[in-house]
Amino acid sequence: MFTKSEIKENLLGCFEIAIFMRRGVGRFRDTKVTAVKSLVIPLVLTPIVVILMVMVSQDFATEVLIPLHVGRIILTMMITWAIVYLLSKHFNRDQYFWRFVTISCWVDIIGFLLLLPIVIGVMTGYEFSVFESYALFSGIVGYVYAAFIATHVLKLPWELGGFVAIVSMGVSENMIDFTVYLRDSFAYSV
Amino acid sequence: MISKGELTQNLRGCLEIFLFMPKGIERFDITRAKAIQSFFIPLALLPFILMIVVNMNDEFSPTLIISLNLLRIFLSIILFLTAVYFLAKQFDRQDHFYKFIQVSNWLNINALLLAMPILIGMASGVPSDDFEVYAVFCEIVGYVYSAFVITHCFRLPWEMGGFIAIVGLAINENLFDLSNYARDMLAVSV
Repeated sequence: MFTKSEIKENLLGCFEIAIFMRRGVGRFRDTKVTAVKSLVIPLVLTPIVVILMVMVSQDFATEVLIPLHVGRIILTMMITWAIVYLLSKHFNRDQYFWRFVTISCWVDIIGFLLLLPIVIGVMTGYEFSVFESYALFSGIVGYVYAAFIATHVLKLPWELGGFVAIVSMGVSENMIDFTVYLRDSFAYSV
Repeated sequence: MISKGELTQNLRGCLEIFLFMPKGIERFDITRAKAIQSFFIPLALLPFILMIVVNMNDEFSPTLIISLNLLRIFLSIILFLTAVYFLAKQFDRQDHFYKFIQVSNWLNINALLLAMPILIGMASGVPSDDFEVYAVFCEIVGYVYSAFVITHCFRLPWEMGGFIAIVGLAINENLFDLSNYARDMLAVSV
């Protein structure tokens, strides 16, 4: 797995990316092995996100929600990476693709930290509706980070980095709508 | 001064506003005395802001930068509060004005927490240029919070809250340009 110094370096990179420092991007390795190893981070964090999703959709059966959300998260990641790969290949930047995958996995830690107040709030009995504005804000900030990362990892102009982020937003939002549609369909058919 | 219970209540309010929870605003008192007392917070945090500004202008004399920025901050607070009072009066919401003063003073704590990475970075010798993007990000987020506070404090439509926040942005940016102009003029004439 990751060595102690690698974890330290990558966490420092995450922190630097959180404060929009370009050098944070350079701390991550550019190899396929590192990218594959990094998948452990979304793997660890996905259950927590799924638990949150289950807690905020209490009207639906857990056995419907869990596979739906796990499927959604995996599909969203795969489609986004496929599009980013196509775009990076188109702009002759495919040599940076593995670094992009590594960073997008590690940056899930920042996303999780942004989500943490909602997780704590919902677990301590707050209604999810009080966090709706913050959830929206976190989502927007997440896409700003995505644009920053795409710009500096793939060494693209910022307009294209923004475009990559908007594409990922398009994928993510459509997948959420599709999941909600499936969830409602299953709920009616049960 | 401020009692322990009040301090807890107001800090909780700050956290809730940070999470865009409208109930955070209700935690603050509506009295004039409390509004005046709350000016203690920006006064206490002023040295930190000045430290950042002096560090970002290290080619100029610190005395010049401190005096110019003190004047700029003081003027922008007065102009912004005047504009807010005038607009609140137009909408018959001036009774919430003291609460607004209090909330905006206490929110300086959130702003300091957001600016903390810059302060830590500067203290540990990272060049100030590295934080430029994050500083812009903090500023934009600050105006989003400002719009949120105005909307919920004065019970205005969010478009109006956004407008007043933009008025604040215009005041700040123009005073900033003016102080930079004065700094360059004074530095040349010295």
